[in-house]
Amino acid sequence: MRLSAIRQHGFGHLGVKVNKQIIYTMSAFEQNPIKGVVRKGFPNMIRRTRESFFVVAIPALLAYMAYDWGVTTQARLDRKDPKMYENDV
Amino acid sequence: MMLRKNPLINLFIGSFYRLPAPININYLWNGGSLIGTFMVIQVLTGLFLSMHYCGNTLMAFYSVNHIMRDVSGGWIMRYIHANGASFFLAFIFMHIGRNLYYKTYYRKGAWMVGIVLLILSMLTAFLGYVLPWGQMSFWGATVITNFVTAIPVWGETIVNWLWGGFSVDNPTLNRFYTFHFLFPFLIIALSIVHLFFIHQTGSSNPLGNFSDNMKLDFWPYYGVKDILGMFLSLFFFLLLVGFSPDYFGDAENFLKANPMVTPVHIKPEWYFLFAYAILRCIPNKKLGVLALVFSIVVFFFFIFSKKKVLPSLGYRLVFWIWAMNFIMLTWLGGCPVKDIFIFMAQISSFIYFFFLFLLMVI
Repeated sequence: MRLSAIRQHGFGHLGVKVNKQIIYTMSAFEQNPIKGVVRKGFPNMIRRTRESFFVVAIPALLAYMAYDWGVTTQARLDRKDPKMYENDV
Repeated sequence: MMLRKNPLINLFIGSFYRLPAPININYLWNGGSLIGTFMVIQVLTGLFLSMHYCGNTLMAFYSVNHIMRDVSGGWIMRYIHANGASFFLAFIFMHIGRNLYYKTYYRKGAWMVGIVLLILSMLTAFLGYVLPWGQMSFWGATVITNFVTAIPVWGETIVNWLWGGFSVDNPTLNRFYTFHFLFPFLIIALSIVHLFFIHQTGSSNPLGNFSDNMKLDFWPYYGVKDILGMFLSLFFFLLLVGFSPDYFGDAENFLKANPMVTPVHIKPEWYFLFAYAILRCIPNKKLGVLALVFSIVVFFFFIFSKKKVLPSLGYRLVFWIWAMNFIMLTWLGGCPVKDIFIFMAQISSFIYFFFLFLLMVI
């Protein structure tokens, strides 16, 4: 953080020097904020999910398997072994 | 135009209203504003609580009960403050996770200040948890402050200085109250420094590329998106506060602190459990404390990793393995001290550090 930069350019204008600015606008009558939200948005969601699915699901599955093993093993160690008392009268 | 001549209004316009923001940032970029929202909620509710709380061991527990039962709206102030801390730290973890995933730690200034903010926030949360002076407050404070004795030679002297005596007692509670009140203002000041660093370059974006030619004004686009994020998170927050406010609490804290009775399972709040698991799984006390400290300090070393490159498939896989392991460490920190869980915590701790090292070098 350079204080001289902040004093010179002002907070909010600290980056590159702006030479040109091209502003694209649309008429308010042409704008629909939810345009394409189902027709384009839903397929896009499917695409993004498919691209990331295995990268997330495989570690999650491994973690769940480890958790399940830990919980069942500890539960087994907390109990008496029924086979030791099979022949009890 | 006349408005722009006023330096304060110019500052507001430049850093909020007309702040250039990349066109392609997603909802993970809401993290900063959500942390700020919950910071404000914590400061305001904390202020109201401090009007009725008494920071003395004879009165603290009863003053909290008084706030809950007698003070008008006291119960909701307390529950908002207690659960607000959980949401505050949850959003901090999400924010750090996003920066790890998109490799924005190449911005050294913002990253370093951010990790200092994390440490301060965790410290503030720990100090605040001691204040109700319940069983878990007292014993959690005892366990954590005893770590200082791991410092060679001067450990005992330092911890007695910290306690203001020979154990956690009234002087400790009093100074914890003072620091819990003070630290949020440090956090606010450092957050402004954090924003200074970020506004030098502008926000990063999910593609990690140069975005100076693809900017939108912050208002209304990201202003409204941030407000939507605030509404959604406040909805879930108020669901929790309204229907299950004691979900993240510990039953032991309904009992007044008793130095003669140790709870069966001493454990901190959920946001510390990952570090607690790392600490507990190492049999040697000094090494355990070192690992606990290093589990946070390790994030400072990310500034030495190579300059940003778009996260590859391998990097993303390593990140998600680390993230799932982090969740498992959190679960293990809350488990009782049994052989299987200690063994699993040792494996998880190794994965935690090793995979963080991999994230730095890939």
